[in-house]
Amino acid sequence: MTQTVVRLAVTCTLVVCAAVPAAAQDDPRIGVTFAFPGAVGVQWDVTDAFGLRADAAFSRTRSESTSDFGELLPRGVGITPFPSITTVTTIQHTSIGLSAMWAVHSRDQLKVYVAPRIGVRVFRQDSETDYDLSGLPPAVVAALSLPRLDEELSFSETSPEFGVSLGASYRLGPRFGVFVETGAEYTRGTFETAGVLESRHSTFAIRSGIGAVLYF
Amino acid sequence: MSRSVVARICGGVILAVCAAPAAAQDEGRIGLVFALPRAVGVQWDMFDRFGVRVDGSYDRHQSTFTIDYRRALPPPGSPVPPPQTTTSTRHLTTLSVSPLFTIGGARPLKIYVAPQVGVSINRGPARSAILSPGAGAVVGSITGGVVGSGSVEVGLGDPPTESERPELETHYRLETGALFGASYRLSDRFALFGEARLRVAGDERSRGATNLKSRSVGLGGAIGGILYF
Repeated sequence: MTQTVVRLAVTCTLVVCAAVPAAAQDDPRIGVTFAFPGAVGVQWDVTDAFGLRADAAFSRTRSESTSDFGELLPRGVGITPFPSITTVTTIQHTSIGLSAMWAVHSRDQLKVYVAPRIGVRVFRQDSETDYDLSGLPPAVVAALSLPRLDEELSFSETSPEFGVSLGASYRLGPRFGVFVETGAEYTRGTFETAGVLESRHSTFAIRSGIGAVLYF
Repeated sequence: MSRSVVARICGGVILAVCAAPAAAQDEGRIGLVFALPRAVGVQWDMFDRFGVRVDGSYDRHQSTFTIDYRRALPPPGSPVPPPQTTTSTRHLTTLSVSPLFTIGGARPLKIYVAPQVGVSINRGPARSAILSPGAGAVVGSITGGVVGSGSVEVGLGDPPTESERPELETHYRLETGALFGASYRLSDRFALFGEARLRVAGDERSRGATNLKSRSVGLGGAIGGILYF
């Protein structure tokens, strides 16, 4: 498996190096890409017939939930401080990928290309629960049979992605282009829960995308 | 710090507003925006270097959950209640405003940045509702039997005795962000754009004794077209 990847990388590098450089043009060759589904990236048209595109997407959500039992107690009940449970959950999605684009047809500003892509998607969820029961008598705390004080839980999933697309790009002007792509993608994931549970899954799906490139 | 930022924003707005209007052209300056991911809106290119976009989206999600007790093989002779249907409908509306400041590019290309302020309105039931009249009255007699209380968890453990109307709640969430993008005018009446969007959202709400605070940040791409009138 590793040898195959190395061979593939070496072959790609040789192809890139052997490719005839584009004729001198004023058109810029490096640009920022905006694409849907949501990703931003950088595209480098190395030659007229070959290009590279790196893409990335990121999101992070932090939620904090506090349950204050003091609000549930009848007025006049003297528990100080009020017992509470605070849960902080952080969910993070990160996706990065790299596509190599080989032009199979070019005419004027239109380019039809084949683009294999490798990437990785990482999902991580961290959850921390803090029980502040200092206002309760020990007997009551014991009766609550809480799972564990100050518990921390983590889930993570790392999914390598492999895909290949057929795409078409059209350079509307020296600094702006659009592209559409459709192809197949294979994803393999490993889901881990605090080192206790591990599950694996794989997905094969048809994917399409549309985007724009702003060249500098 | 805060005053400085406000002063800069005010300065930018004044500059944009005072900028000389574009020379009379046949090009439309107000257009309908279609964007992915899901949004429609209106864009007004007030000046060559300043415009405003208002966009929004709407989602309606309805789910229906039916319990058919006849399939639960109740004990012989026990009463079988009619099927029980639970439904919930949720409406999610977003609305945002973006003042677009052109920072570069030469016609027909425009490169712009924009702060974005918006709100998402989430309206739906605080909990699910039992819609089948009278069905709830017999739930209690069967929860200890074959079906089990878990199957009617939509009733939150309290079998309703009559048809309930869902208690609706509306939740507002402030969303801010920033755009960096480029648009390309293909003709007098049509343009394409691509954008990188940084989105920051946060809200805080309370229900009973629980207080929930959330903050989120995301970076993604968007693409769309503008049809000018």
